Amino acid sequence: MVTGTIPVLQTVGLTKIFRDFWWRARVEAVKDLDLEIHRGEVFGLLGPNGSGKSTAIKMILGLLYATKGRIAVFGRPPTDVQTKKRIGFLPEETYLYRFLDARETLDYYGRLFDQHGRVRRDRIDRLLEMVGLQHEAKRRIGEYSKGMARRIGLAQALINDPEFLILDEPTAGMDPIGTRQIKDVIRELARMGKTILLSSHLLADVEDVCDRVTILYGGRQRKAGDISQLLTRENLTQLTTEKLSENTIEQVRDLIHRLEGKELLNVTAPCDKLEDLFLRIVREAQASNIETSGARASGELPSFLGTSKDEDEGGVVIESLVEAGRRSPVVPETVEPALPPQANGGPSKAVLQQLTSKPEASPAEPSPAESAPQERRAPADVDRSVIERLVKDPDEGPSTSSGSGSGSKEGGRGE
Amino acid sequence: MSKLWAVSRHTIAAGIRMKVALFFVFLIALSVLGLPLVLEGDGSLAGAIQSYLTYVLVLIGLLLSLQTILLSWTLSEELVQRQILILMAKPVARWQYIVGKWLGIVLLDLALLTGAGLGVYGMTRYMAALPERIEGDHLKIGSEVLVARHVSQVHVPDFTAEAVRVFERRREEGYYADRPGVNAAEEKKKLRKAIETDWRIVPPFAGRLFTFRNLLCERAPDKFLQLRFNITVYNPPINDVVSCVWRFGDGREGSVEYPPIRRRYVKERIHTVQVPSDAVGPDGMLTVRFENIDPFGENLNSMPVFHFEEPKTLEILFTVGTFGGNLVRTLALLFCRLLFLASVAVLAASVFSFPIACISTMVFYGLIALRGFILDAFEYMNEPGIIGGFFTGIGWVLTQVYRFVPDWQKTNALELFADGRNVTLLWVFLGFGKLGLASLVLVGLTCLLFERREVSEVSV
Repeated sequence: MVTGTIPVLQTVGLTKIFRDFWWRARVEAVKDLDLEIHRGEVFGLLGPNGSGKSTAIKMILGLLYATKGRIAVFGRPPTDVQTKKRIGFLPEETYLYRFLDARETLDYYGRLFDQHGRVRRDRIDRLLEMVGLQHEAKRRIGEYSKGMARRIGLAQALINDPEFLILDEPTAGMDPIGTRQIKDVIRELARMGKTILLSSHLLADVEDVCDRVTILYGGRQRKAGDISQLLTRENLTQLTTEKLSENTIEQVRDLIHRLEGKELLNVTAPCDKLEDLFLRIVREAQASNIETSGARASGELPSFLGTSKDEDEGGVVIESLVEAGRRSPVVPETVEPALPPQANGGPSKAVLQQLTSKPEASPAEPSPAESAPQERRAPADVDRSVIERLVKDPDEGPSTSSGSGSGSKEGGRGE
Repeated sequence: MSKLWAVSRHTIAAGIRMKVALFFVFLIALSVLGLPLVLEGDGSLAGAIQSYLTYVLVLIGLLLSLQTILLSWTLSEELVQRQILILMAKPVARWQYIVGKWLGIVLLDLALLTGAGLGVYGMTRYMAALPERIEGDHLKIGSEVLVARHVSQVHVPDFTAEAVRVFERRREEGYYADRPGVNAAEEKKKLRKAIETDWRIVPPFAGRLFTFRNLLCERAPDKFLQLRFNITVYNPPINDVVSCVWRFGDGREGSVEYPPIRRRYVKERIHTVQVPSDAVGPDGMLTVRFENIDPFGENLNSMPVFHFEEPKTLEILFTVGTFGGNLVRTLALLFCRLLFLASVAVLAASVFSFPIACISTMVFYGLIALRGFILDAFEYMNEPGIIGGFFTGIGWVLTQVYRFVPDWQKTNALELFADGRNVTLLWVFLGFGKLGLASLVLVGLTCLLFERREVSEVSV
């Protein structure tokens, strides 16, 4: 069993060099990557296509072998089978079996965790509900849209209630509703104390959910740190008030000039995010019961998630914990104020409470509330320009690095 | 074990859902039900059944071999389509994945083989109940086709001492005086062979005593053994019909000596004579005397010479088991081959992509299935010159390769089975022992290779 002091993931000098048929080194996909992710963190691996994100993840999972360096997942080598009981993985594309339906797919992966039949069936039902595909469970994956397949991909990654979730481009191919749902799920999982490694080149995704990020370019680590520190522009101050008249604005401008000797740089009316507008329209359509063949509104996070984080084995133990989790909704009545309404039918108050209340917390481990980040940034008040400058696609502007070109092509496809 | 079973189950589902197995189910059903409509045999019902059993089992073996090779696609497909990335991120050891795949293919083969076996059994029983095409068809089917008969070949005396004696006499007489470099051992071997050939030839108005040993049959006057023979006839009569006399038993203690049996036979065909089982002595030995006399006085002016050329031209058979049991053992030997082929296919699929894996396994399958033919062909092409040397070289390489590959033909029981001969349980055990062991070695090798493989393939 892992103690609280051991990082969930640690890489030291991780390097991957791809060789050609003649064994000549051709691409340095990852170079000297040092990562340390601790329990409860949501860690972002950020970078443009070909920056080495997926290669790094595959090494972390033991799917590729490091040319140099060391990897420890829960203090064990990445190929250790027992460690993988604690990991959930969603690859950059949803590589599922086209001839299986959603239920069969999840059943197959559940069996690989030695899950007891009843527990497995129960989890499958809840996960299908969570990803909004309970009505499409009998359709073959081959008939699914990319977004629907992505949802099943997420469900399979959660089938074992993982302690460490690795998500490679989780919102790729998803519509804004799905993207929002995925982000909500990530937030809730983080609140439950899960450790999440999120790889993406979509800045908004990372910014919305991550605590810390590492930015890769050309396989090398360019910048790393707490996301709020990275994004805060210390030399600027932003005030937000209700709408002001021109006269008041002029007076404020004068006051600032008089007291601080500085200029008021920008005065605008804040806009709604397009995402919010879109979600509002879709919510109205759903309220009118307009038919769609795609995924329904996402349901609640399954109650089994987070119940087995202190034990490795499935089967009876998990079952007992699931049972314990089912009893937990009794608690919230005395606790929470009303949560803000979810834009998309995401986790409700009662479910969230159910999810975040652990039946039994191990004394050796911090509770999810303690280990999870205490505060998440509001996305609107940060400056993205730092990240954008760093991850700017080399084809769109002057190169910032003399690294090994555009990186590796894995299986004929970049990241 | 549950993970192994999960992977196996998934492989079976892939085979069925992707219609590979269904396609072969259709072809096997077509073979089992359709072949009787197109096979004639020798015109008799017994012959038709024998032809059916031979061809249908060859076809089933071929189809299931192809299915085995094609099902390995599920492994290479998972590598190419990258489902392996999710799979290997789960707590499944790589050996569990490989063994699970192999097991899935093998279990699907077993299921189809079982179904095919039941179909063949039912169809054969149906054919056996059809009206006779020639007289005695049903009797022959019951006693020579739908049975499992033990076979005992004629005991050939050791002629080594006589060969040595002849060699020494010839040397003393100066026979080898003009051949100083003669190889004594080789010469003795040739002499022994010549003496044995003489022994197998029965000249006119002569007789030959043959013995059969270790006949562990029930000895009773109403029980019969079958003497099966095929004589080569020199100086045959115009109508190709020859006559002779058989005598069974020698009157030793416990062995009944029967009066001579006079018979006419068409030359160079397989004939069967019923032998009372109490002619066999308590020691399991049966004495059979063959006499080249003309009991009917039809060819006295030009008597033929009889030659029992090879061991299989004179043998005793008696029933030791049922057709059903024999069919099961024959199919078990067929299954041994599929086990081995599945391990080869899985190895190929874990190294190569789908088409290359299938082609390489098919080439291997062809090489082992046609082992005898290929080696003979290269031996035949062994001529002086560059081209001859080239073929000799290839033949030598193949011979070396074959040393490490189990002999496929040693598990081929189809010919014996169709002939109503017993496929022994020992044979099945040996088949499983050799091919099963070879399969495990190959699967182990595949696991080792796969363990080192980066499953997220990279093309740079």
